[in-house]
Amino acid sequence: MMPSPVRFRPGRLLGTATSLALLGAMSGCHGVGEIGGGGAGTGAATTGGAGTGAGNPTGAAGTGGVTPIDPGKVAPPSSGWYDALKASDCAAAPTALPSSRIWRLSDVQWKNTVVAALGVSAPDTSNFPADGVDPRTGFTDDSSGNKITQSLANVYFDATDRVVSQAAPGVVTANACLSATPLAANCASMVVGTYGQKLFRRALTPAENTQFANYLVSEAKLDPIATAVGSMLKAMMMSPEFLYRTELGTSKAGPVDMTGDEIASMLSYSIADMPPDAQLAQAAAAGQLADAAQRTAQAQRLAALPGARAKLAQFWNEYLSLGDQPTAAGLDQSMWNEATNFFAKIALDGPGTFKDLVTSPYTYADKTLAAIYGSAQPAADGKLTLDPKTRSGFLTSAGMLGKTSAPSQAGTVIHRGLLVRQRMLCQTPPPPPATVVPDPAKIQEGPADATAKENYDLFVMAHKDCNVCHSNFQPLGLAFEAYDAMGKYRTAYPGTGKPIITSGTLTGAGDASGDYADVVAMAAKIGPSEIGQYCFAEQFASFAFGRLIDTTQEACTIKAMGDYVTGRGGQVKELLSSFAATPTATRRYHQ
Amino acid sequence: MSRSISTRYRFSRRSLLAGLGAGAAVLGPFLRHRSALAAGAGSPNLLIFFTPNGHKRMVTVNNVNQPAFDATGGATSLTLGTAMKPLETYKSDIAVIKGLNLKTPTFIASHQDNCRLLTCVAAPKEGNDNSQFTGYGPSIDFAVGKAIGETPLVVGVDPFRDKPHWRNYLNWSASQVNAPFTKDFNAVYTQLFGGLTGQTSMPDQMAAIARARARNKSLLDLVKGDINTFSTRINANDKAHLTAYLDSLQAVEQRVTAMPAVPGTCSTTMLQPRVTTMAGMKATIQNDDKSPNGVAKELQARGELWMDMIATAFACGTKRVATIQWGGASEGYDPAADTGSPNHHSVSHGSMPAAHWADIDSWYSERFAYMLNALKTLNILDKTVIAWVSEITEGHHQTNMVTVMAGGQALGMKMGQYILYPIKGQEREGSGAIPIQQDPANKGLNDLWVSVQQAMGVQSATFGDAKYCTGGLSELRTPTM
Repeated sequence: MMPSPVRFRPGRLLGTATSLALLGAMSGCHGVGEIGGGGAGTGAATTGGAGTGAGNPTGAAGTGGVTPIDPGKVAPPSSGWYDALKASDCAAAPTALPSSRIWRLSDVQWKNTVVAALGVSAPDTSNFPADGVDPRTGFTDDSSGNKITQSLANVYFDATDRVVSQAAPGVVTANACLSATPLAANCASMVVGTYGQKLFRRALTPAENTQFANYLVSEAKLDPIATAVGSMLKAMMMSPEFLYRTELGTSKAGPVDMTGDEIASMLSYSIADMPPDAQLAQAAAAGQLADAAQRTAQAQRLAALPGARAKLAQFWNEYLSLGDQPTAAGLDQSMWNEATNFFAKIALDGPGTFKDLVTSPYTYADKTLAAIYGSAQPAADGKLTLDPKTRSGFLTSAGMLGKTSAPSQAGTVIHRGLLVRQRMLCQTPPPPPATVVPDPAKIQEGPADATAKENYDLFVMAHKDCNVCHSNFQPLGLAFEAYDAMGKYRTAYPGTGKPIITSGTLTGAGDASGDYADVVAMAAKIGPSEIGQYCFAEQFASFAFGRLIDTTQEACTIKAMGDYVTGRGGQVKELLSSFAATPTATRRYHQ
Repeated sequence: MSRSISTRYRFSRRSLLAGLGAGAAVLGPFLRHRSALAAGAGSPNLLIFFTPNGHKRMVTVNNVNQPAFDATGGATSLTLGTAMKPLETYKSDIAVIKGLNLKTPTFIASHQDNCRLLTCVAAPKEGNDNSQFTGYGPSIDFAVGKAIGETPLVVGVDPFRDKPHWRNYLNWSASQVNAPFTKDFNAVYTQLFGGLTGQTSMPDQMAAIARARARNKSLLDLVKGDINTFSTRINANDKAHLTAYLDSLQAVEQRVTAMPAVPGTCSTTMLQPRVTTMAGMKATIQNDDKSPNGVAKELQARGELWMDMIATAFACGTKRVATIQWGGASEGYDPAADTGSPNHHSVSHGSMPAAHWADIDSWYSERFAYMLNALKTLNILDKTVIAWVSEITEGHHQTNMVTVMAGGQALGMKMGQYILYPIKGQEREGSGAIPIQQDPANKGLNDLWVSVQQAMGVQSATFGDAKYCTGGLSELRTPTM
């Protein structure tokens, strides 16, 4: 074997850990089975096992036959998820419910909430630690992983200082009774109730009101009133009731209904990263959000707000692990701009569908990328028409091809194959056995001038057990050999002149299965397919729900979201409001 | 001790206490003490920061050598090694010097020579007698102390010894007169701050500081109560969220209540309760070169309290020269593994992988950063010269040492640089006459102390054995003599 060091690019296109694990020439691989997260069944929790079964039950038996979906035990989507979804009886009541939970506000949500509640100018949060990426989903909206670290607590404390010093004088002015000395208890209670409701996104309980009012009165004896009000606001802003969204309902063990305020927060934060506005809060107070139609109407209204556009753009960014825009002008920046502009033009500005993202024979690029495509100069709006025989949507864009290239030939093939299998078909290969130490240097089986196909054929012969899994994604990546590391199209390898073989068969891919001649043909199968649409909905669900979706127990949720989008013309932007009326949207299981 | 008092701002004790309410409870000790900056507070300060058993200068990662407790750079640049990374924030306030040597007429390569580290005077004879454990002149802290008319403070951090062993013989008030460490927090607190009695007034700035601390404390107490209430509602799976938040708030509380809110002030308000708490803790004395495991946090807490007391004393002008000994030479706790056996000394001899030795250095770098932060917060870092030294270095020699200097920029010290003095000769572990320390081409520690004492206003071109002096380290500070 030739040593072939593999270097990974920053970012998490497909989960670095998974990609790394899969890169090894896994001499110890054996009996892992095909892509699959779990076996069939409805019994006690299990997290894996060979087979093609549809099930990966994760929860313990629950009240009244309903089980909780424990986010820590959810297995990645198996190869059988689509078949299971198709077979699901979604007319029946759900037998599993997502666990009740708390969910820390993201940095942008913190900022938007502060602005909305206190009417201050947007605070500077540039020194906030970046929200972490959930390694299982690739998204930063991670309800279980993103905790309040020491550094975050420190910046909260300091940023809150700045916010309340800006807000407190206005609060004093707006509430004349605050100027009385001594401060009257009923005045303190009124002010606490007003601002507590804005900050906590719900009415304070009597006990909470008493606690904060007493605190305000006490502080007002020691400090000027504006300082005391600032302390009271700061105490609220450091409270977990402010820093966390909740999906707890009554907090009684077993199935619970989320409160109207919690549903309102779920909709507003998950759609537009903002706290409930007056209209939504009013609907919550009126008990309207228990009704699916009302929720959907509110969700559709929220989806039209600027915050929703930013939220959907964030989804796309994290779906492709694009990261922050490179600050230096150059190829990296051009590629980043291409990936984001392509999505913006098609899905945010226009009525674009998932199919459009996958099959459009054009892109939005600058002159640098136009040279790579071998095309004429882009139009004024950046649109660049490409050869439909060689280019198809984001899969063949220079940005994505550059992003997925690795220093080693096999690494590149694997990255690109996983992009299709994992992100676009929602089929996550299992990790190699624990006894296998991934060794990227061993992935290169043939001589230096061996083609990717020759290398893979040798790999298959040498590591049949490893190929049980690798066969699901590595052959797909071979089709992308028609594009070099920067995305330039080619038909033969430079130097050796060996022809590039791009044909293959897409297996286990539901209605997208079948032979393909090249990436364009592969994209033509996936783009309009049902599995592709549902998978895209599943990816968005993981993003919007801040957790890995249990594709078996939540098949009806995915199906409802996919059907909702399809029913409204398939527009990508419909994803934003697609979860509002899903079967378990407002029910949780409390433990 | 009698010092001048600022009386520009006066509050009656009664009205102040009434105004501060509950927060005044913690002000009691403060009100008994002088509160204003004393005349000496603007004067230069000197701190010797001693950690035992030397440092791991370089580690090998993937067959590539990289600086650990060392740096690269030059007169205008400084890139810190991995074990110094905790000091990254203070890079412009430190200088890393490599290549200094404890010069002696004979070969030495032992921990016992910690007794000459701060004196730079060789023993009349070397050998297996008590001369190994004796200093033959005042150490730099006492030499400076004598010049400015005060007795330096020498404190020991580790809780394992209550009386010094030769391993702790570092400071000398005069030739062969050891100045032992103290570990008595109460006694030192009284010594430093107890003389500030009889005051009935305080500047409003101090009241504001005390109030800010009390405000932060009560606010965080309220939040912690909120967290506890919140925890009763949430799913058991999510408890880790609140545990993490509570832990994080501990750190916030330490930051916003332990240090003065306004720089450049002298306040002991938060020290006194910490001293009381620490003094009440049972020490783990065993007077051995070993110690129990699991006491790294205690070591850290003790060190931080000593550092805050020293910084406050400097800010208040009640002490200007101090040494903090983190442990004894040839022993020392391993804070990275949190073990007393194997201890720091055995790690330095290879009982653990080399990288672990660097981890210990890194732990001490974090403590050094704490010291710098304390001084910087009080706005006295630039008036304080800090020397981080150890009795030995990698290879078990007193040659080619890596020394970290910090602060003193208002005193002419040049920070933010890497100073490399190439050594002539070969370092080797073990015995043998290696004349590095005798070669005139190699720089002596004497010159470091010459520069330090000049920064402190002691105008002398020599320190210790004059024959090893060349007038100071001009790269570190332009000689004034």
